[in-house]
Amino acid sequence: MKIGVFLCTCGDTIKGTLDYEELVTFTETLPNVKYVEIRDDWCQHESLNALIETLSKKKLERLVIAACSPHLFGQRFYEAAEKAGITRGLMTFANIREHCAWVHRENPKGATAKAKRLIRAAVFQVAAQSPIATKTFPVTQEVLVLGAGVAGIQASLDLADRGIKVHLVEREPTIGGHMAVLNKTYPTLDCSICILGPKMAEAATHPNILLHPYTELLAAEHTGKDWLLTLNKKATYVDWDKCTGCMQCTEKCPTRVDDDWSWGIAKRRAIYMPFSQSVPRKVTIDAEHCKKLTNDKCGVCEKVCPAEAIDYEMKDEVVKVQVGSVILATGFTEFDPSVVPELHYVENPDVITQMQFIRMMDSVGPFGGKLEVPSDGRKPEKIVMIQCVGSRDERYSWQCSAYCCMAAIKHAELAKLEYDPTLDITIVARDIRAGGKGFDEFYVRAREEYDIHFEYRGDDLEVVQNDGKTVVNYTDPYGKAHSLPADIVVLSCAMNPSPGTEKLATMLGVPLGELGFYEAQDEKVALARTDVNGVFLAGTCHGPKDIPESVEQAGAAAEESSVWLSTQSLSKELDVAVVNKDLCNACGLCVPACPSQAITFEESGDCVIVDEVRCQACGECMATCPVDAIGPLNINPTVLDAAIDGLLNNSIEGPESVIVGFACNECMYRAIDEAGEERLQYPADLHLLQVPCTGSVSTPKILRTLEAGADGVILFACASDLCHYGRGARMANSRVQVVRNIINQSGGNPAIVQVVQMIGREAKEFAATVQKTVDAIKGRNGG
Amino acid sequence: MTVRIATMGMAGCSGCHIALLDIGVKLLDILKDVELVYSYPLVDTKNPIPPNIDVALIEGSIRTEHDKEMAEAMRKQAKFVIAFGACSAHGGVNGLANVFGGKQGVEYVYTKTILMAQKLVPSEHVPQILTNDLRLSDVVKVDFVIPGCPPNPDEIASILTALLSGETPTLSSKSICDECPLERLTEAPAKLRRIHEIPEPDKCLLSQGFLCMGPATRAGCNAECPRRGMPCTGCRGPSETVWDQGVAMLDALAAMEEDEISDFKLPRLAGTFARYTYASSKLDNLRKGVQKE
Ligand SMILES: Cc1cc2nc3c(=O)[nH]c(=O)nc-3n(C[C@H](O)[C@H](O)[C@H](O)COP(=O)(O)OP(=O)(O)OC[C@H]3O[C@@H](n4cnc5c(N)ncnc54)[C@H](O)[C@@H]3O)c2cc1C
Ligand code: SF4
Ligand code: SF4
Ligand code: SF4
Ligand code: SF4
Ligand code: SF4
Repeated sequence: MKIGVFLCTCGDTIKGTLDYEELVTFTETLPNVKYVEIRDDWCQHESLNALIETLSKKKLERLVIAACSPHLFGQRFYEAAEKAGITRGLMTFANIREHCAWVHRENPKGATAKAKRLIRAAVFQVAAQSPIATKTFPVTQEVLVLGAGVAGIQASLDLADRGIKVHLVEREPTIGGHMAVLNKTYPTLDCSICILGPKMAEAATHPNILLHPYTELLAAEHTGKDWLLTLNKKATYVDWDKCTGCMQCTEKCPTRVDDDWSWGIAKRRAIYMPFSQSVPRKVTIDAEHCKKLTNDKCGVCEKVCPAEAIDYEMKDEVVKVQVGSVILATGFTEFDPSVVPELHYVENPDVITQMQFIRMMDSVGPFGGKLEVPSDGRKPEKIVMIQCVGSRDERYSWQCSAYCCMAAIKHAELAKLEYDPTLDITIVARDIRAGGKGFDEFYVRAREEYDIHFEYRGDDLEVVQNDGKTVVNYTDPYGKAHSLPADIVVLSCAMNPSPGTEKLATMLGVPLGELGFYEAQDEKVALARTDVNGVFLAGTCHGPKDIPESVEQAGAAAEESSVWLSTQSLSKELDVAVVNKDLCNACGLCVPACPSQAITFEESGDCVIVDEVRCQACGECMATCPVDAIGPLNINPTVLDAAIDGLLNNSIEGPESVIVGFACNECMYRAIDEAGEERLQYPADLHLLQVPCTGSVSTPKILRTLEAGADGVILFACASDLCHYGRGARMANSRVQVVRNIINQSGGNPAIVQVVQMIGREAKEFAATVQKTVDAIKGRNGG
Repeated sequence: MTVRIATMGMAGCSGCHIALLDIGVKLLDILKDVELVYSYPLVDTKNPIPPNIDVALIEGSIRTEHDKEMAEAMRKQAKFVIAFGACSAHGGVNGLANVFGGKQGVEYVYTKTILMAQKLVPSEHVPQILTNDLRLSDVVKVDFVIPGCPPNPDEIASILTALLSGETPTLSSKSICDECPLERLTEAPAKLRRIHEIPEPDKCLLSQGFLCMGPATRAGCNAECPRRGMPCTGCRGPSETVWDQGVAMLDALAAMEEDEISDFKLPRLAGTFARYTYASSKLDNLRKGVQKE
């Protein structure tokens, strides 16, 4: 093995403190060192070129850069070495500037002795290291579509037809979303469920679609390549494998509750099917209201069910799926008009929303298609529709909800066509927006053929009740007041983001726009894309849209998502934990210790394996393994031991004692660098080794370091709750307590082992703490 | 050619010799070509150690000057010396006396325990007790170690058979878990449990919170204890690549973040985590190191 050591004087900033002649003579005697060179500026372009040349010419296989902090120019050196064919794994740094010369300026002798140790540690360490390979991992060829309205269903079908496996997740017991209960769609008055129904059926039976009805997303985590999603499959209390959908239970159930699938205008039973075309055609018990589940009474459905499908003991089930991409299609919810005081939506039962109105008119809906005045069941004669409720109103949203003009016209036409051509219907609008294909014809036809009245309003509008009669009072844009009596007032409400959107946005990291809808990466040219890797948008979760627009975007999302799957991959340097299968006993101790859930048992059960994508090379597993069978490739037990021995084996002449500090490479190493940059002075006794996380230093390792001759050991960790790897810093603490107890019990001085925890880059605090801790270790100040 | 075998007992309980007999009928096969030239626990003789011994099995730890002399004498006559059983291999349970120092232990036994009517530490006609309990390899060169308290009869048989047929016997380098059939759980236990809180069968005991020394203990016994629901107490000493059996297991428990662990007093530390190995453990090294200073 041929190791080259490249020493830097950093202009003259280090030279004053370190005796370079001594360093070179010393370095040349180290095992495997075949070449040593000093320069003033290794980090500069010319020197880097010289470095590449020397590495090749001298046929050096590994190298040590003894210079400034690797956090500064590490990358440059890595790149230079790579050009000479030396991979990242075969070089190491000795930080003789920030960690040594700059912080011991008044102690040149101590600093030189310490620099020797640091260089020797780096030389020993690099000799024990292994080259790092790079591997490419394609993203998992599966997609999770969240929300099974028309947008989610369409996106799923598009993907599934391309052979991509889809998880279609819907929080309701049925798929379909709003479109399933719209009755007819504008502008053609096609039957809504007749279009959607076949798609719902296809989604349920497609070999590439796995339906997850009545399921919610609990947690989302990105592995660097894939999304790992935790789903909660809610208990339906009905075994769907057995349930035939005969509905005998729903007939007999004595509990009546507001039907959310009728937007509250009708009742349903505690055991229910959302609507008659539900997919899957199965019933669900509403656990919140069922007498059996809340009070342990009743139990009727279990008695009547011929299929013995009722299961009151059913539990929620947590399922994990791993996918390469996620499509959000969580849709919208109708704006809640009860917050608009002048509409008296709550007090006046004859004021309803368009969603309630359309449910009322549905021939297979809860009213069986009877159009009646809610307060007294009369046949209505006059209907007034109010537009822009919750939209274009600065109190709620400045946006136009886009669908409501056409929906109101559609519902007005339907009422006249299907119920009573003599109905007097007035639509009170700010203006009518009919920009889509066939929309204006639809509007004109409503006015001219169906005799639907259109009136125009300004800001003032109020729904009042006089002697039990409902009247809509408003001023027109010219300031003239009008009064329209109405048997039913129908509110055309804004589209709002569906409940839970904000939570999902946080979970996945997708930004929300001002109105609470998911924001696209670019609202002109990247409408289906988000800022988050692999997450796409379909339908009204992105903003108000009608069906054609939702479907269009669903197609785009499916397209983008499939392109993502075929083009994205993770290229990762395999500086990850490696298992020595000959040593591993499958004791399993390392499995729960891994903060990335990267360790699982091999199928045979004989040893564990590491998921190379998930592993972050933190080293917690290495500290946990009693037999040294696992550890990050280049800071495994052997490498760490080599570095420790490098610091400690054979004494080097110098005035200081040797205290070994293990510094986590996250906050602490940087704080230490900063102390150097600020030239804060602290005792040269402290010799630092860089570890990924202090949680990688085990109890045996601390004791071994003492056994190898260290006068003390300090673990420099992040604050416990800020540890980048979960409980690494807490483990460091725990282990130091264990070691101190052992030493104390053996009659020694427990103060020689310390843990120092700090937040962020507290350079001054660091220097002061080192002084204090070194004093404590040397017994100058008690411990 | 007959092989001349000797056995010997130092500070121990003769359990290892019983384990040897426990090999049963197979022992007859083994003894076919063997001449048992010296074995006072078995053959009732204390004649001087005969010369030209091929294999010597030495049970027990080195507790007195006499033990030391006998071990040295045996070493002189024997070509191949085996440390037989936990005491000989690692110091054994006897080693726990080191926690208190050898002298203090003897004093306690002779003056404080009820049976010793005279309350006097004997000084004549008895060998001098050593300050620390030692394993055999601390006083003579040892060629092979058969661990266990007591050693597993099947393992003794296979080692002797190998030796007699001129092969070099080997020990498993792995740990008990390697042979343990219990199902591993992937979650760390919520808390430590004691053995009277009966474990669930078929599930790894450590993952249920019972201190099982399996992960750090040398395999070879077929995990007889854990497979019967009894946590491994570590009688076979550390497995090949363990730095220190007890410290490794302490570390595993530290991961459970139970405060209790960092307050264990030395007797408890030693008795729990280094029950059979304290005399040869890093824990004892540390104590000796400090006390020397
Ligand atoms: C009264 C009314 C009439 C309309 N009439 C027409 C019309 O005639 N023509 C037309 O083109 N458009 C019409 N629209 C608009 C049309 O309803 C929508 O454009 C379309 O339904 C949007 O589909 P979507 O899939 O985006 O959302 P949705 O239909 O809302 O579907 C979203 C789905 O996601 C589910 N979901 C939400 N959050 C989660 C979650 N966290 N986890 C799992 N699942 C979740 C929901 O339960 C739902 O099933 C009308 C709208 C209304 C209110
Ligand atoms: S009675 Fe039984 S089979 Fe029929 S719908 Fe109800 S749960 Fe399903
Ligand atoms: S047990 Fe619950 S769901 Fe079943 S009939 Fe009674 S109230 Fe209805
Ligand atoms: S190095 Fe860290 S992330 Fe990787 S397997 Fe070990 S514990 Fe898990
Ligand atoms: S801790 Fe070590 S021996 Fe145990 S399963 Fe993990 S790698 Fe294997
Ligand atoms: S019970 Fe003991 S020996 Fe068996 S796997 Fe668990 S820790 Fe290992």
